[in-house]
Amino acid sequence: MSEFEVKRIELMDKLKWMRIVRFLASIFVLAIYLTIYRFRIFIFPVIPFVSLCLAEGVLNQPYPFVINRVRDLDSLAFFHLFMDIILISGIIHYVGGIEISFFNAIYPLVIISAAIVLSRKATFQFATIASIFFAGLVCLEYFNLIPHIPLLVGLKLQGHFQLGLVAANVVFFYFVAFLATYSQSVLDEKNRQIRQARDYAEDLLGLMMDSLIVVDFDGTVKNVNKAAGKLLKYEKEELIGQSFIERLCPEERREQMRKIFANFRNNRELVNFEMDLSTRDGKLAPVRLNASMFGGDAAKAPGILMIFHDMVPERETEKIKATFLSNISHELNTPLSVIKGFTKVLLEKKEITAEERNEFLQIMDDEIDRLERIIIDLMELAKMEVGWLKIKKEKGQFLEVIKSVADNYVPEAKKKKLLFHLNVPEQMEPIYFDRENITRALSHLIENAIRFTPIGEIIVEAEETEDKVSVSVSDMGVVIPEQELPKVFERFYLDKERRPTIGKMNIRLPIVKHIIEAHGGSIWARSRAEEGTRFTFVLPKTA
Amino acid sequence: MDGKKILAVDDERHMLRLIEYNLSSSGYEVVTASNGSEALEKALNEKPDLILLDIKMPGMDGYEVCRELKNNPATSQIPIIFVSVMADDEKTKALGASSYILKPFSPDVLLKEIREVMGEAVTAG
Repeated sequence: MSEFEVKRIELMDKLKWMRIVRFLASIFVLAIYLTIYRFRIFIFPVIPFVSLCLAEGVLNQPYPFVINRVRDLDSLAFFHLFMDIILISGIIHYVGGIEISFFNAIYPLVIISAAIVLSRKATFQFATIASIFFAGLVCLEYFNLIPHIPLLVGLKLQGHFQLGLVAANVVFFYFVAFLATYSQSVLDEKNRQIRQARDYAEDLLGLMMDSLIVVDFDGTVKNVNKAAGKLLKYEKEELIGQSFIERLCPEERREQMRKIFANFRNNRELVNFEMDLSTRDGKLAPVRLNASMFGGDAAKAPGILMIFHDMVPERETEKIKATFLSNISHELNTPLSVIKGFTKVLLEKKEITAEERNEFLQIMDDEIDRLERIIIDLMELAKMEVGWLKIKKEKGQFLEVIKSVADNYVPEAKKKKLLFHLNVPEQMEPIYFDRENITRALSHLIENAIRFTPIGEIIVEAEETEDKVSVSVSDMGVVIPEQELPKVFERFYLDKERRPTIGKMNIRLPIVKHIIEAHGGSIWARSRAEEGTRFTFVLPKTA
Repeated sequence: MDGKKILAVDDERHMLRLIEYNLSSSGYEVVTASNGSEALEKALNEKPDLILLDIKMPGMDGYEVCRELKNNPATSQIPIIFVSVMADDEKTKALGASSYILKPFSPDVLLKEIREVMGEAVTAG
């Protein structure tokens, strides 16, 4: 059905009462024609028209010959109502309605119909048309151009009285038009507000990220929001009317849910617990349920409002944290085991050579260093998590800091037989930065570079623009794949196979990122097959 | 005890040195490997009488190495002791390993466990 068809049906629906009146009027006229013989000759001309109205009423079709010509609904309505006025005028004439105001009251009906379906202007136009027709009828009869048919009342009124009658009716018609249009506009406004409120509520439900399901006390689903459909993989229509317990509740929860639904009326208990819901494809969705009664008291069509919070992200985070903790445990344990082991050896074994003693003590020293680094990193991470890692900017010599940090790592690089280059300008303007934290950040970057470059060179570069400084640390080490690049700055990021030497938890880079961003700067990484990996950060010069 | 060869597998160089020292000072011959593939290789070539297997290693972890060893008839008879920070009794049994030791361990515990497992292997084999 085309939109026009749909709207036309709506229009016809609105004009329903008018059409009923029209239909009854037609029957009335037809009845008179068939019963009161002497009026036949007067009514005869109206018969085709009347038949049309009857046909329309019986078949429930609007004036059919018009439909194909009039494409515009407003014109269609106008035409309809206009035809009605003609018909009414004719009927009134034939039933002596001029004196009987009862029949004149039919005009206002058309006017009211016009107010419902047409604009304010059109309604007043109809009031005018009705007035013209009515006045016209009176005139025609007055001047005996058409016979006056006294159906029920055998008198013909005086001219002045008739004038007064016409005037009174006209005023009445306009009054009705005014009242009708006013009522209609109020109604329209109310409808608009209702629609707006409903749309607002729909939008809210639709935008909610949590799933919302409303059930009645039997557990029948009354409403679901978009998020619920998405979570459970159902269309809204598929769930409404279904039993929540049968469809969405896994077996082991059903008894409990039944009890809860049954008890809701009595106790206003807060229902808040974790459970699973059955999705359409037979899987389970972990959620946290928060249910409450709504609708105030038992009298007002109440129901149970259930909000389901998707627990999958929480579970993921829990898993990641659990893995992280287990990794920390391992990372700390290993050096401890070595230290403990060699301590025992030194304490208990009698025949240890001086060389061996030195070797073991050296190993222990190394492992203690390692422990210390891990613990320092962990403390930094903890500070960052809790928000204690604060940046305090002071004006200072940035270049100096870069040089001194780089110098620190030259021996280590040498030990690994890596080339270490420092590519910095002769001079750099002093800037505002947190010396301790930038030292830390740069140290981490260089440490990583050294750690992950089995062979080749490490380059530290610095440059300045008018309002920023930028520092890069490049290594020729293991390449990070494109998709993983943004993730290297994430806490708890685990890089399993590809970089076997990366301690199995990612603490340093997130800390570096935090420090840089707390300065108002930014950091990124680039990694290409032939070029290696390059970390660059930029800092604003100002406070 | 004498002449028994033990293969120690651990990705931590220092841990490996610790184990090696403890075992060799108790009279065992020690062969070392620092990753899974090296472990499989050495197991085949050196034919040790026992394998100490670290679990958490990058690449092939201890469980995988164990699986491979047990699947290969040439190495399936060699008893395996898992060395790790976590204990999983079920998995140990399921994979066919003989026992496990928790880190950190004292050398006595290590030697005791080795003796027990080797003792069993001798009586069984």
